[in-house]
Amino acid sequence: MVYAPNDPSTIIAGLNGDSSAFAALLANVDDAYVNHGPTLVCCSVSFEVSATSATPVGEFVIPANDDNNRVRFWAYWRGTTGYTATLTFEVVDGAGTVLGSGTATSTSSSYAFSVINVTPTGSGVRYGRISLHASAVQLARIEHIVASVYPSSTPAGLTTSGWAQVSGWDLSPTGPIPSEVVARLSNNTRAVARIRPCGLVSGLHRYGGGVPNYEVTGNVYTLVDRFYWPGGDLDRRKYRASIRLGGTDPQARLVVGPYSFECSAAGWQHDLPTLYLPQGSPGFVYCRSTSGGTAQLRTYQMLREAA
Amino acid sequence: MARAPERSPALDQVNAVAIVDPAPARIQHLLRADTWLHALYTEWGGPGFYVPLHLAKNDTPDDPVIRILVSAGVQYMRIRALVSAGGSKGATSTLVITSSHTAATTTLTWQDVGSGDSLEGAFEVATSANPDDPNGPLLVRSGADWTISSDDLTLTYDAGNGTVWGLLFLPVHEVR
Repeated sequence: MVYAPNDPSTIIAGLNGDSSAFAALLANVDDAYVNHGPTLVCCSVSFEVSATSATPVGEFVIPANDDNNRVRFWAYWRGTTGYTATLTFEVVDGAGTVLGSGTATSTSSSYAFSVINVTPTGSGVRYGRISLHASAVQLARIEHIVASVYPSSTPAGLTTSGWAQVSGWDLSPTGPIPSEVVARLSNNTRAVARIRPCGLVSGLHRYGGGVPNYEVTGNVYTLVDRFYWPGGDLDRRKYRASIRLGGTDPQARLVVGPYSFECSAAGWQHDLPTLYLPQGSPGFVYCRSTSGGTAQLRTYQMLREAA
Repeated sequence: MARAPERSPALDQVNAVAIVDPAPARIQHLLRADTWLHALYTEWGGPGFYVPLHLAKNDTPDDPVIRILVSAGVQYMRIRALVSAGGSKGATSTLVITSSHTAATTTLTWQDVGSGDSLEGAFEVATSANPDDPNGPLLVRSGADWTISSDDLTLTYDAGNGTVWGLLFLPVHEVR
């Protein structure tokens, strides 16, 4: 069943129900579990490796996903004709423990998309780690990545997020409507929204040449990226700002609308602000090394965050 | 009857619904469930996203391809680009974005305004609201299918002299 919006005239408080509209509502609620998979990460970034061992080139944050649905990772990439290049995508926890992984290979110098699906274990905030290598010292190169989270089918039983299938339940338009059914219908939709946060802005630093270049030398803040805020929420709400830093004494500042997040030290840094950000607000990302060395802003992301 | 997209509530911020027997379940509860679901499938659940590019004219690979995810029910994407230009003031740059699904194109054109070919000097150009315009929103899917989809967009930046720093994609959630 694919979502089919109910005619707004079919379910009206104070009037009798319509059995077909009720059945469609139940099926629609189930359908959302497999057909709501917003963008988690989408950015053009050059990762270039000529190595025979798997070389980590980038990471992004994967929050929520309480039900451990599959993480879908697409890359537009190439190897070198005559050799086998391998793209590895892993989901890891904060300590770097691998919670699920998959690979794709390329034997061509022509760019093409590959998709890797990884169903992780664990819980809480996790990270997607991208690695590249080749069968000989030959080029393997990514130019664009996309990721999302959604399963291929609805699960049986009650899930960790509190979601449970509802189609097939009896919802008579003339009889009493079980309280559990009406609560479940709303809470299932709420659960799907909470476990699949929308990634609104994401940028990863290049590896081995190309763009974008988020590396800075010196202790003066340098503008490394700008963006426009997609937004869309009508009121104050919670967001996640996640930044990954590397190099010597790195420090970064992300500014959008009235919000500013400054963080230091290599590794992942997170902030969970409650904000109202109008669509189109300009965003600015700065980086520096506080000791005047060379620092990299390796990843920046802003996502919706469930309360 | 056509149905408008829903932009609220913020479904991941609302409290869980708790209805305890013997409180009667009423049709208005179903109406809420239906409205929340439509919000998830339309404006609230599909807010758009920004894609950094840092694409200079004739970069390698030339005419790069990016994949975007297309939310259920979405056919058109409005696009806002952060661009800059270098060279002679008044010179024109052109970015053509082509959908692999529909073969539709939209063309963004900008002039060198003398602010420099840099991130600091970058400014915005955007698609128009009219799908019939050459610079209108991009048709990324034919037909109002309510499933997740994706589209591969070819970015042709062969005319001008500057940088496309990034693209903001805003899904058009139509009344249907």
